[in-house]
Amino acid sequence: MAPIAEYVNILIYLGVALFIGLAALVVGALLGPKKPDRAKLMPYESGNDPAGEVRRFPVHFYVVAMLFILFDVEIAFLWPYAVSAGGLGFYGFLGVVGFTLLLLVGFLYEWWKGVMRWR
Amino acid sequence: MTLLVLAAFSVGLTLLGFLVSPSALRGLTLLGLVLALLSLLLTWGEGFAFGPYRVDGVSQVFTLLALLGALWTVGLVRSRRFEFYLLVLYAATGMHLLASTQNLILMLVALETLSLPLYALATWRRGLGLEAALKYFLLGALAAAFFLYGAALHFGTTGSLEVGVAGEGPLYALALGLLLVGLGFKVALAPFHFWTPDVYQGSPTPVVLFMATGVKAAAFAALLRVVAPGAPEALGLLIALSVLIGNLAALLQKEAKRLLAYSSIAHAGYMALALYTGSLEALGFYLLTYVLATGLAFAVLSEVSPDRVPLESLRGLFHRDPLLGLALFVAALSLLGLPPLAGFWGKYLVFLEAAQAGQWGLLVLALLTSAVSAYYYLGLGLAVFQRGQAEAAPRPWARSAALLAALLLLFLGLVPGLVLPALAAGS
Repeated sequence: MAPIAEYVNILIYLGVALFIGLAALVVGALLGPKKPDRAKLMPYESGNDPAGEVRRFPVHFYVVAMLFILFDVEIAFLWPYAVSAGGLGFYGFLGVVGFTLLLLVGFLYEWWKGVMRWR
Repeated sequence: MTLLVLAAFSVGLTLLGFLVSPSALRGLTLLGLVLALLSLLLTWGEGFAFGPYRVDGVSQVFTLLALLGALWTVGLVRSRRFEFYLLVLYAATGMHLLASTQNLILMLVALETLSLPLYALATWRRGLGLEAALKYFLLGALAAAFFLYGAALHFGTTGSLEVGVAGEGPLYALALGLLLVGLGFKVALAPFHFWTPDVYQGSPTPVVLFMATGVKAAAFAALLRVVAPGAPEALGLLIALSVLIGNLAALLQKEAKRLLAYSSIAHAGYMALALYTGSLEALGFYLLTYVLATGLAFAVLSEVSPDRVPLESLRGLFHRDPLLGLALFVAALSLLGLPPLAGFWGKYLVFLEAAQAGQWGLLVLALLTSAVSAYYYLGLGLAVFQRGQAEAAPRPWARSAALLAALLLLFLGLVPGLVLPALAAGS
């Protein structure tokens, strides 16, 4: 356990960082000429809409996000074992290896299924 | 032992599926299921416990039924993608786990292990089954949430996750009620039955076979553990509604799968009546006959067409293929409960137990609605003898399975005494 005061330090750090960032934004917004017109407000790229009409995004992003959630949960489960490995002994090691192997089977399945391939 | 076989095969075949052809994987899946069945039968009547995982008579009886359903489904289907067999295996693993635990958390995990593969299986053919699969998924997830909330309240009021721990007060009653709702969805008891007709109609027929047999058996095992210790009065209401709605709505159906869906709701009501009177023997035997008969009906339907089966399309099935026609006829009569068939003894046992328990109101209602059901079961069974153009291109394997199930129904109907002691020994 860490003393609660250290968490207060993190809060102070957050506050200071927020203050400096906001100050920089305010300075940038106040100083400088302001003459907006139609051409300047267009998104990008010589008057053309850069993205245009898009039907939908590839599903890869969704797959990657889902895999990330799954394996992030795996890490969240592995973390407590990593901290207390010695106390749990060989039995605990077997348990965590079994758990990891189960997820490894899932990983191999999706690897061979080719969901990682970006085409 | 059974769990080890099932888990090892489902995990191992996940990787092996890339190396061997789908038809070889189908053989391996069948092998795994048969091995699991063997390991179950070899240790019949022996208990086993490892933490919250406990094998006892109840778990063995219901696992047997679930494995039968899984075997039948895999036998009927030849899929080009090997995941179909894996999903059935994973679901069967979940069913065995659900039947062999009294721990609410493990029960929830098992419930999801069996449900998630079924959500995927329900949409196996794209397009048609999509709406049904979505409904099944959303309502199933809702039911699981009910179950989880009930488990949380149960833990909160009794301080224990084991079912059957005595508790008191309104919160404990609420917890039991929520658990009942969650499991009621799974077995399709009446106020929670709305998904059943749509899902049964929209899903591929062999998958419906699995849903109607395996899921029902596993969910009834869980229901038995959760509810039977102190059966709440509310269950009586659910039974009355189930037999009424199931049988009356089935009268109006023009589509065979929808008809069987409502019939399965009614049968869930009869099985819940057996559970209400606390007779494991009657429940087990009824489920056995129900699994055989309803599996037979769906197996024949899946030979007729993998999609919707209007009742008219069954006409002439007997003239086209006498074996399939007769099998459907036998299945319908057994579901109705006519004497020389096994279904009769199932119903007889349930009604006998209800009479001995003094549940006269429910008994009269069940008898009356059972009489009403004769109309649509006879309509389904006799349709095969009428003139018409049935379409069926049965495969040899399906024909022998149909023959076997029909003979089993007849055999169990003639000598029910052979199985009852085994069920009693298991309990």
